[in-house]
Amino acid sequence: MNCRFNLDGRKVLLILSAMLCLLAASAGAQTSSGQLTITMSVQSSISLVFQDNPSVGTTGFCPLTNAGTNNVGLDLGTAAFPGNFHTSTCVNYQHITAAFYEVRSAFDVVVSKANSSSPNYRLAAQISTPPPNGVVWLVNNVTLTNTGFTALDAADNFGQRITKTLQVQVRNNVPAQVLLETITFLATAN
Amino acid sequence: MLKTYISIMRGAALAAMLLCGGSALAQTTATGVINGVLINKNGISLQFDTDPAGVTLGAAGTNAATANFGAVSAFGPLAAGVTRPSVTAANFTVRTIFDVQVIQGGLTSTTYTLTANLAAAAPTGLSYKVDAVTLTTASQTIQTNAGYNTDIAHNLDLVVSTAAPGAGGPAVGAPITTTINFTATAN
Amino acid sequence: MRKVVLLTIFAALMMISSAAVAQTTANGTLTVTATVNGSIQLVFNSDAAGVALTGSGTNAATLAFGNVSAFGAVGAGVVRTTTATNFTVSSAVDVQVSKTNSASANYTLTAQLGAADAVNAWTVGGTPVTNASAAGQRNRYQQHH
Repeated sequence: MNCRFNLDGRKVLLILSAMLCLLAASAGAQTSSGQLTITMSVQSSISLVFQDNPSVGTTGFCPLTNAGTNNVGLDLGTAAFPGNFHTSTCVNYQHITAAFYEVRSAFDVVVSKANSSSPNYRLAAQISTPPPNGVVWLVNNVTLTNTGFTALDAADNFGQRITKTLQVQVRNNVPAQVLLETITFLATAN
Repeated sequence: MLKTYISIMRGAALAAMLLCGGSALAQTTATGVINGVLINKNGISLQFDTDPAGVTLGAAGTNAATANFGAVSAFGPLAAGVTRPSVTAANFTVRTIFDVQVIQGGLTSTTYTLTANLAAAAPTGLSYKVDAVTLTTASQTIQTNAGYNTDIAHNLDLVVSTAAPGAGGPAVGAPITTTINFTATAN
Repeated sequence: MRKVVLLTIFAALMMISSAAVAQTTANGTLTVTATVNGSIQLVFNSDAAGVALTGSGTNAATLAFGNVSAFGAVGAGVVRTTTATNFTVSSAVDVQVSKTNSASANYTLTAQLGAADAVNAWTVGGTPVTNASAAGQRNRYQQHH
């Protein structure tokens, strides 16, 4: 049997102290005290979740799937340029030009803070993939790209509902297809 | 030696302060994603619009409009937007103009064909024409190669027999209503 | 898990397939309403024996007697009778009244001067006419007078 111990000075002192404590305990009348020093570093943090707007279900306010989390779905239904066709009863549908229609729905963004003296936060958004030609994704009329975050707000208040409207604008020559986009929202404490 | 030690300690303290300060000013962020989905559908739609030279349509801008000629006669006054292009011993014709607009989206089609038919047989003493095509309950072509996304004017003629009621002429003094079905087909 | 993925893909394909089916026809209905009323029309026509009318065949014609005198020459179509105290010139005029969408058998024709004439006396079909009231007679449609 080959036992090998690699003890540095602090470990040796610790072992000796423990042994002394045991001996003292066995002596019965003696007392001893110990002190545990705890250290930590508290970091400030913020969280972002999406919530249904209080007007959810009415025109312009579709329900989110997984509302209350930071990963939600927003189904805008089926729409077409001719005849103002749209299947969803909760979206806002309109022709915005002679060649474009738009479908929009609003929801709320809630950003909370902890251990932070930050007075407010800024909000930005970015789409995940370049949309097909003739399709534009916007939030509150601000066009989003997949090349970087686009600023939406400079100073939103923590803990408050911030209503945002997701818009999809589709040109009348866009072939029939499913338009799917993941929009990432970024909140940064100021 | 002592100076060096003090210098090192000052440097360490400064670094620690800087680190602490950096920690306090940390850029705190949070992200969330929305997965938005819209199914874009293609197709065409048809709507009736009021022509500036015709009667004002009821429910203009929809695909279920109404055109009211008002009181028509061979010799009496006519409503605004109604003309009387011909009066013969056998019949007279009153005319109004209405617009059809067909809108397409997501198709490669550039033109459409318009057909029309009466929803039911024409009332006694009356016949209906769209652009000189006498309508029946069978579908007939009104226009081929019509362009999308623009108002296209069409004449709607009502040919009225001059015969008295009961003698082959239409009923008089009461509204006579007829429905015309239109279909636009993408070419 | 594999089944779930396949099901999801199948559902997505079904949606795309459904969306890809083009709706290539559109329908519309135009409801047309008209109220037919009976009507009659009056026009003046030149009579073969009378003065040729200007605007014959319309309801706003002109009968020009030309120069008239008790003893001088009168125009074609003008008939003159002279007495010791006055002379009368006359011309035949056709009135044609047409009816449509009506079972009416006949009509009443009246006439009235457009302005008072204190000097001359006017008659239509032997019936004196003034500007004060309309004088008339019953006639059948599409007959000349």
